[in-house]
Amino acid sequence: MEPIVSSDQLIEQATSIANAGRRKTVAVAAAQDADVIGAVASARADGYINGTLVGDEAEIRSLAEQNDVSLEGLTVIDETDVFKAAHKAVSLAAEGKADLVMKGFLPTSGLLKVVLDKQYGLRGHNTLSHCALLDIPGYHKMLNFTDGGMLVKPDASQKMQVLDNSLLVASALGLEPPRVAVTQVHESDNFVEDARKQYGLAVIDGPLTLHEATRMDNGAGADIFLVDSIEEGNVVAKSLINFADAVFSGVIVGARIPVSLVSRTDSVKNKKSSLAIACVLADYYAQNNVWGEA
Amino acid sequence: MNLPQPFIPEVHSFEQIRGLASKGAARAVVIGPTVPEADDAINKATSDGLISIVHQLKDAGSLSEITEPITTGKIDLLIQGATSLCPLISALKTGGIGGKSVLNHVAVLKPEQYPKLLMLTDGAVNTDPDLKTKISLIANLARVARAIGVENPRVAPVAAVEAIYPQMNVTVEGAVLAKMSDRGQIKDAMVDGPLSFDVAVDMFAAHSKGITTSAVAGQADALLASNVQVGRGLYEAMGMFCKAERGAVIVGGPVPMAVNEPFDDSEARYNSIVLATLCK
Repeated sequence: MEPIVSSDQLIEQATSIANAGRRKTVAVAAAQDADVIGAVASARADGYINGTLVGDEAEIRSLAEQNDVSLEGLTVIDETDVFKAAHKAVSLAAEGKADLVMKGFLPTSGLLKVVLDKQYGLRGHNTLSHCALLDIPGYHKMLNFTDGGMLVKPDASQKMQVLDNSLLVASALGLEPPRVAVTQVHESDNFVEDARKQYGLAVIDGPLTLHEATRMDNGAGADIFLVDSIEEGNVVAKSLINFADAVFSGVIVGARIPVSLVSRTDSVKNKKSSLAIACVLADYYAQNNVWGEA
Repeated sequence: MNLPQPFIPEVHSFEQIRGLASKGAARAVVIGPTVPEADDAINKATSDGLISIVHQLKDAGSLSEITEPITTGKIDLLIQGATSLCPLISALKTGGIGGKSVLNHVAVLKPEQYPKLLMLTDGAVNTDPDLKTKISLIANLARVARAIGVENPRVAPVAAVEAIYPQMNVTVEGAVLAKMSDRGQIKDAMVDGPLSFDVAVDMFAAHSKGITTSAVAGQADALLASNVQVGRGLYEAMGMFCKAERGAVIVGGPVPMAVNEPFDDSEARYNSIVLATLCK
């Protein structure tokens, strides 16, 4: 497989997965959110996703109409209670009727709690972490900022799990070898050496700044930018999205299904490519039996 | 959504900052060997009459070579050559000349997609500043702002979120700084936080997140980074990918120091010298 190095290629890959008969289905929890409906409808129209919108049906249909969005080809399941809608969406994934779940009109933490609810068997072996793949004009591939969304200040063990999650994404993108830049190395741990051994990583180095990371391994440049705090990942990534026109594809990794979320301030392109990475990741899980028998 | 227009200060470009610099031939010491980009910048600043080079040190090896001309009032500013910052900072701090004052790295940036200048601190000196240090960082930043013609800068302590969570200390400190600013305990700057990056610089993002009454959100003049990784990461992202015109100084010591990063071009290095002359 040719490595996927841009957000356009990410959407192409999601499309070719669908064309090969493996189109992914997203279950949206509490889908009464105009931006979420718009993103799913547009990915459905592009042909790379099927969608089940679980939520307040009347509200969903009214929002779709107000925003001139067609719900054609999408399934709507009426559930006005937000918490029950989250359970319904996650249970669809647990039953194999959906390949990924997406956050609608409820707090992220509320949805993730349900995803991690033991009755659904969707827990992985790592903590959940956020991957933000940035396609930055001026950089020759995508750079995965992680974790700028979930863990406030990961300790060494959590950081190793964040790395493990990001390596799954790297495999789904066909990056061989993945190149990892660690922004800070603490004296108290031997993070780089431990990670190299644990995952057989050929290219990992730190501490590296962003400038050094983009030039590591004789100019090959990093694929993964493993940060030390939520502020570092979040603030630096947003500066590139706001001021460098970086296209952002975000996904929460660590459960047996990818969890997708988009925000109102995301561009249309960001929303599409965020759903695309979740599809590509879900397909990688299924094709490679990553989680074994559930 | 009807959005208010961001407030643009009178000075909002590097061209204007360069126009403020006086031809007073500030006496400067260059520390360390130089790269061609630095030579170009120094030569231009000299021929423009902004500086006169008193001395060029081969390296930062001898502390007294740096501190002696400062304490005897023979120089007005320092210019970092191709040498690491650490010994220079120790020189300014431990040479008995800095006292207890807080030094900080203040960058001035003009990202192509932002309508005005955006200042940033601290991407180099204070690794993990506590609340007390952050107050000093803002005070030093406000002095640089005034020197470049930006009065009462709108300062955003940046965080990952706008909400305040007890388990996220950065958000708590951002809120404390904002309240201190409201009560007039922070002079010469308007501080509001915590703000995420997009909310700090984009009025649409600010209003989308319900932040509609802030004097800072959507129109920040300056960002206060929570730690050095954030500050440095922002500076590098701006310099490398956001096509930001830029310059940077270290202030708070007995004399300002024009500083640079290895990837800075001669224009950025020249801007740093201009900033140092304005901050002396």
